[in-house]
Amino acid sequence: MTWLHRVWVRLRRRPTSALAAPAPEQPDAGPLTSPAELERVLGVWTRWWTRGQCEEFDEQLALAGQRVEGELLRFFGQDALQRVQGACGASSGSGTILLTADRLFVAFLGTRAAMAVTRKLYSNFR
Amino acid sequence: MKAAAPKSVRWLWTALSVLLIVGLAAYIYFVLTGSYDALVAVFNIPGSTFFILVTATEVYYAYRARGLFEPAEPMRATWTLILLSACCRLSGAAFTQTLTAPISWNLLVTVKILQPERPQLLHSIGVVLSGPVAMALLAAGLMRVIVLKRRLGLLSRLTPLDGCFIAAILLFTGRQLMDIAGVLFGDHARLTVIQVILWFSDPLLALLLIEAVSIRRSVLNMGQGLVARCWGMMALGVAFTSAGDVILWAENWGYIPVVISPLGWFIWFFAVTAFASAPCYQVAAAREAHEGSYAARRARG
Repeated sequence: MTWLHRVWVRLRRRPTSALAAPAPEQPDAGPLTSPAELERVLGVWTRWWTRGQCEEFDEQLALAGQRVEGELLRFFGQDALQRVQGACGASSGSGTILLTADRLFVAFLGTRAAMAVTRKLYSNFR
Repeated sequence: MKAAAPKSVRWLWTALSVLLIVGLAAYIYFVLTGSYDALVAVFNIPGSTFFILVTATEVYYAYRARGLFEPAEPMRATWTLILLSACCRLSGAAFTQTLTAPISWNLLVTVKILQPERPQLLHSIGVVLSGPVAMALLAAGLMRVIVLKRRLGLLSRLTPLDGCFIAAILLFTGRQLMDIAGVLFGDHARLTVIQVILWFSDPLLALLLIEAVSIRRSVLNMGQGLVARCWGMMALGVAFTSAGDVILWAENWGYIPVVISPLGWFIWFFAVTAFASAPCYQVAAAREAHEGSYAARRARG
């Protein structure tokens, strides 16, 4: 009976859904000295950011989302914008489009230029 | 919204237009008189100068584009390969267009280092550098772009038309390989190392063209963005190079009438201009990223 009880307790401790699963590797708290390291840490955080959190509406994120659509259009064109919008599958307020666009900017414009675009996107927020 | 072409690109295509006008005048002279003199003069002086200056522009802008990326970023290696490819094309053009050409302003002839006759070895080295070596480097660079776009989910599926085009490229390459096999096994001709290296040009060009079709489908097809146009120009350069190669092959086999064959020679100027425009767009895109502000736009209302 004691053995069965132990097994039952162990089973109950196991996560039963994806939400209960442990969070993926989290970034180190150490100083970020290079853009590549910063990008790696941001990558880890964005993977950790769950879809539920993405879909919460935020006014400033929506404004940044509208701005990033203009930047995507300028650098990659109409079809690329539509493709990114389709892949994100959510309204501008969710912020997912910002993350996808940022990956594109970093990949095709370089970290410095991507950071300049990001600074512009978030400028003049109340 | 279509971003305006950068000033450097406008300059390049304006210079090409001027050269084409001069070339067209020389071609009309050829059609009317049957003399190649004017065409040879155009290709030897303004043509060579254009070729070298535009390729040097490509080297300069490719160097600047490379500098936009940190060493750890994947596009840094891509632009390094494109820069090396441009350097090979520049040195190849310098060898084939001026240093080994029997023209009055060839420095080596002027200082009597070389005889006025075209030194075959130097010329062949130039052809190898600007041909298979440059193509292999460019193919590696474009392959990295394709891999990166695939990783980012930007690679589009090829259409049946793309498939037909690739099949045509492969057929043409197969035909070229058959010609090579004919030389190898039929004629039992004495082969040189340079000749064997040059045989890699056509398979490499086929690979480049397949990459260009893939890039065109996924990036140029995206629209008129600056980054999209950068890779679109690179694909266009490859397409012009392939067209030039097909024209040379058709000319060798007598498929093109003598009267219109000089028109095909001008395609190399389009290729070099398209290749030089690509890094110009990349540099312009990075500059645009640093320019403008939403604060100013908001203040303007």
